[in-house]
Amino acid sequence: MLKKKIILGIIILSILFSTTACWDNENVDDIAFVTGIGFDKSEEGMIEVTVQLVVPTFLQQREQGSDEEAFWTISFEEETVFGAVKGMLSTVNRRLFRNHIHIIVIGEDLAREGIIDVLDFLERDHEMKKNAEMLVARGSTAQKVLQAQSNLEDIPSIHLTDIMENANQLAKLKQKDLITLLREINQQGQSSVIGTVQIVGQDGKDEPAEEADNGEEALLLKDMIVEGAAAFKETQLVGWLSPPETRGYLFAQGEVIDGIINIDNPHDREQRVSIEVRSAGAEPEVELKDGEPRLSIEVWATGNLGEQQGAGNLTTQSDFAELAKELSALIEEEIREVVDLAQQDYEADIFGFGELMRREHPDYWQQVRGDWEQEFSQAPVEIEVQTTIRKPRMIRMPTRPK
Amino acid sequence: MFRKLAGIYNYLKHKSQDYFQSEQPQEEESEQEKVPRDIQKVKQKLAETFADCSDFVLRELKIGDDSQFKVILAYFEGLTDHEIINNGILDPLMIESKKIGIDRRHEGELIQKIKEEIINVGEVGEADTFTRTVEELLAGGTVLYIDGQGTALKFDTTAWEERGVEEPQTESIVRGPREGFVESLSTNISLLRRRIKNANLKFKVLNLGVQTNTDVAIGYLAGIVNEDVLKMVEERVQRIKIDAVLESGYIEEFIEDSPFSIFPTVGSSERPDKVAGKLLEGRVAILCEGTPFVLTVPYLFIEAFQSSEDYYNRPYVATIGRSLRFLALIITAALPAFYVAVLTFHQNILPFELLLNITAAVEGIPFSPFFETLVLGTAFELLREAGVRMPKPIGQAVSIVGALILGEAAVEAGIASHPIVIVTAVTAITSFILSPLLEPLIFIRLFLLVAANTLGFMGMGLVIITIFVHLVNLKSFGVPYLAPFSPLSGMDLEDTLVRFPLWAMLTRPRILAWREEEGEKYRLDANLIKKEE
Repeated sequence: MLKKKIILGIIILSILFSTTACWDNENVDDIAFVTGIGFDKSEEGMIEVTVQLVVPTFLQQREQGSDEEAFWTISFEEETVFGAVKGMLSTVNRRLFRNHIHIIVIGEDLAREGIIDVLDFLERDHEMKKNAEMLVARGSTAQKVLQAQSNLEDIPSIHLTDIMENANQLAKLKQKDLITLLREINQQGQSSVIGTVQIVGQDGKDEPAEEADNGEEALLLKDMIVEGAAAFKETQLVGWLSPPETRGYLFAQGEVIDGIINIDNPHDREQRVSIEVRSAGAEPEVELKDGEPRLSIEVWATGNLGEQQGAGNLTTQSDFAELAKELSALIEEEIREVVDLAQQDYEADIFGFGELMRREHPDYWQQVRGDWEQEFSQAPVEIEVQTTIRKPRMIRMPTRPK
Repeated sequence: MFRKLAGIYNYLKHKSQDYFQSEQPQEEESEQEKVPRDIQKVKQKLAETFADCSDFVLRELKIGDDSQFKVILAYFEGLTDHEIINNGILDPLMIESKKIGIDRRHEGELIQKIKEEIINVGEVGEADTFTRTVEELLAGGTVLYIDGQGTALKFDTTAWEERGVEEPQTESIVRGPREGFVESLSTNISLLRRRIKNANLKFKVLNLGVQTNTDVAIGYLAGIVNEDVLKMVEERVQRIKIDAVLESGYIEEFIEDSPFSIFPTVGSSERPDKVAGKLLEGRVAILCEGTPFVLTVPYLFIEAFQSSEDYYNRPYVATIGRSLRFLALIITAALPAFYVAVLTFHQNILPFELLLNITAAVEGIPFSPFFETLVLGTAFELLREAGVRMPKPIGQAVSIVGALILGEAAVEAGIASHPIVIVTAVTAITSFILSPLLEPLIFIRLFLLVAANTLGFMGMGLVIITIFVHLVNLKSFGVPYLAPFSPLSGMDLEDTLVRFPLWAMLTRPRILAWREEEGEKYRLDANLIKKEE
């Protein structure tokens, strides 16, 4: 009995020791951390993959006052993404570790051609962080976005990710991570919306700062603005949503968590009032009437009076009711704008009505599933917004000269 | 070599009883020599027995009215109290015996007379055999051989230099008694007796060690102790056949259930209050002459987490202490392995910024994390060993050198990284929290480290499963080692992770008295409370 146990023990030990140095065992200083990855279409029609790598040693030295950049970007052109990621090993001495990718940037050119080919690798990869944030580089390339330096963070990708988290307080940017995007693409009839980043240049003009920089000075993230959204039809970029349109879209989706909306001061029409939306929700509904789809979006929002310009005491219930009415009208208008855009210009169901239809009216869905987008663009959309203003924040009465 | 070890183990386990039984008759047959009647013969024999014993004192006296009785007073200097011998034995013998008037007429009742009328020493006895008197002499007694009598008188004059009762060095506490056991068996017994003033507190004294003749006492509380456990303890202790018993550790190794296990199945303590508590729970204590460390059995895994202070403080404090000790167990066993596994297999589970910091620190170190951990861990164990062995004044120097060289210089020189130093330091600190498990944890830490370096978390999982399989199989004097967790004993959970208030501890540990009907008996208190309501 004891002999058997000893033999068993020796066998287990020998297996344990002979399986050492298996392929997964690698030291942390043998891998290069990729924090951001970007995809562009190269001139030769190949995929150009850009990665932003972190150099941990420089990161630590920067804390001690070194000027060396803590990140490094490298681009590689290949026919496939995987090929490019592996191909970079001829330049980078360490294996590219993809588990800490914070951000995925897609260049406009590639986005217009379709993004599914680059997403395939990311979906398959066991190491890929599936909740990395997605961004589309509007009017620019992913390479440029990833090369931009940040004045606030040592790693620009983290700066970008933090900005995307600010979207919660801003309601101007559509946040989307990889796994959600993949799920949406898998749903028939559904189109996606991804946040965008733009290079605005130092003078604030809406054009790339490339020419001004002579290619010498590095781009800075402060010359970029992350807001708005890109609308996709299936996997192809079809158009842009401006920040107000994005907000309308977010209201329609019930994704507004916190946002500032400016409306007219009811006592002083020349002046503006800020409403801080504290909570909002939406309920999209579909129904069939005489075999025709009818869509509706019911939105509710509550907010506080955040700032008041101009005269008047806007703290009474009747004032609040008036403000709420104004606010509802504005939100409805914004939603209407984005609905029109989606129906007429893009013919893309970015709201997910198709999925609702599939669940609630499967028979009808079977008939139209091939050309749901046609049906969607012709269906009437009813928008109903209900808002409440709760309190004027920390005051009872605004201070005004009496 | 292993086969030989296993052979010895099996031999001791299965054959030992027959082996020692066959020896015992021989001992009984050995010549039980009577004390010679002739005083000259006694003198000769004593001189033979204690040749070259410079501390042996032999005093020839003549007592009685006209000094007609020749007697020999023998004792060991240093084991006896001079004062008692002078005032209690010598003085009366030489002066009182003349006053009382002992003469030839009293020869028949001489022994009786001396015992009852002359000597004023507390404990007086008679010894028939010469061997018995020798034993008595060696134990610090004084023996009076009387010419013409076949019996010798023995007096208890034991008194030797011993350490006073001091605060124990090993198990210090903030609140609670400051007394600790000492090297003297009788003092130790008295320390327990003072805490449990109960006739049911029994001590059975045995003599162990062929050469050393060490007194060993098995203490228990009759009525509470589990008879089966007590029988097992007695049997195992009696079976010990060894030249010397210099410390209770000698006994511990012989009575363990699983001698090859890295886990201790016999507990030891230096604190009388702790041992008294264990006795009251139904455990058996084994006290050994010459050491302040008292063994308690059965010893369960959970006892490593229990401190006597837990019961002196309020339950909240005690519960926090318990939780901290469990945390310490996890950190001590697994932190280095976890670190190595994360750095070589699972870089993805750390928050990114933390990972970057660690990577920055690790970069430029020529060794793998595994090797680094191993080297620093070994260095720490060496330091600890040095700290224990060093004379106290030099210990300071060791800690300075250790802190400077290990902590700073190694990092500065690029031999070790900061995180490794932190991991080693945290592990070192926590390892002292669970001092009873110090040794097994060194092994577990090493196993886990190797497994973490080969198979990552999976390897660690395998090792942890293996350890648990071993633990649930382990028994201490018939009691499952992991009780009351496995097998689950609901009533006994009151004194595990959460220390219940004392008034809520209704039963004595049922795991120790594991017979069903006994367990029921212990619920009596709970029933009483219900009746009162």
